[in-house]
Amino acid sequence: MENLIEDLKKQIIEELNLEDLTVEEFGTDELLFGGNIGLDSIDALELIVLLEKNYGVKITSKEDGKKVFQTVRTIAEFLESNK
Amino acid sequence: MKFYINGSAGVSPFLGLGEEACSIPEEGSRFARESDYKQVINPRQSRRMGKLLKMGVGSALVALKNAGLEKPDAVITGTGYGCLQDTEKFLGVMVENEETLLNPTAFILSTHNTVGGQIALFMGLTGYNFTYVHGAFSFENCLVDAQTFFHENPKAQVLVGGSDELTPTSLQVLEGLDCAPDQQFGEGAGFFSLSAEKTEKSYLAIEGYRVKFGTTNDESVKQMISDLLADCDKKEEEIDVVLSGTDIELAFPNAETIDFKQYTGVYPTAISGALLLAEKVLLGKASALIDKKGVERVLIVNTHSDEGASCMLVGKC
Repeated sequence: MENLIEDLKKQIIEELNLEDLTVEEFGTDELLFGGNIGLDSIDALELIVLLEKNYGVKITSKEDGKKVFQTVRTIAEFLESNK
Repeated sequence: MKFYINGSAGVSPFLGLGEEACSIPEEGSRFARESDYKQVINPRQSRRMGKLLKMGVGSALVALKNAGLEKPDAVITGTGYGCLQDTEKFLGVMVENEETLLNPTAFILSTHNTVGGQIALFMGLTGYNFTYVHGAFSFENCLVDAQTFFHENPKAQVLVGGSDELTPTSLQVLEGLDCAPDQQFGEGAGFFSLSAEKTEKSYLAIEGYRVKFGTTNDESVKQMISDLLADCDKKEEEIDVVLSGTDIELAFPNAETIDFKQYTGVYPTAISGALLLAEKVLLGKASALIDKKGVERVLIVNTHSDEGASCMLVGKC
């Protein structure tokens, strides 16, 4: 799980060009949307593509997206439960 | 029609964003001078931006700041190539992923009007916003549009700019096509806050411009320049510097003639870079590039293969 969380942080930073954020500073339980990270709707689309491309997992409903994309930990838990 | 310049900014091989004075481009460099865009664009907002967007939006924001203007009445931008970096990225991913799983960001930012759109988003502008993609005349057509806008809104403040970027791929293609032999390709952005009426911020004026579309020759270009001087009620003797982007030999009695493309490089909106250079020459900030001092009036002349020719007269006001 810890490895998956670190990989996710690296991928999110790279894909979303979060230039001013490092893996160490990226809180596992930090809110991705509406918090300090400050992601927006375009980032949500990028995250959907990232999960499908790198993990073969599809997010098909808005409700699922809201739950899964809360924090890096919720994404990792979702991926673990959909292995 | 006369336009007053109230503020400007740009990025070019001879000028970095926010720099006061011109400097000689690095030898062999075709790319715009590295600039610290974080000074003007919040890193969180700029994280998705490619080079063209950073050059264009950064220049626009500084030009408006220099003009002391919070919200222009119109934003008119020109680009010949558009956002090449994002287009290349989008097309590359499309091939790589066999037309599935396409990243939205590169697609959204790949359209030609992204610079104008991002300026509007940054500043919360909902007014007139238009982008001209007319090859080598993209910037000139911005001026034509600004002129029509001023006819309807004489007191308006209009932001006009041209920008084009060079990428390793586009450079390879352009060199392969051999469309500018003996010249270097280039890139840059030049943005100008204009008004039709003189304001307390006005420091220079575009006294007039002329555009000639289609095939040109020495005679037709010289006639175009004569017509411009007649429009502006000026004599050849009153021109101090000619910034030439043409092979046509131009000689004026008191003028020093400079090939501006050796400093801007060759790209569709290079004339916006020439206007930036003209401004620096008039303000005495181009001593690294041009010897002549006390310049009062600059003529810019540009021709671009078979697309046509344009000229512009810029002076102190």
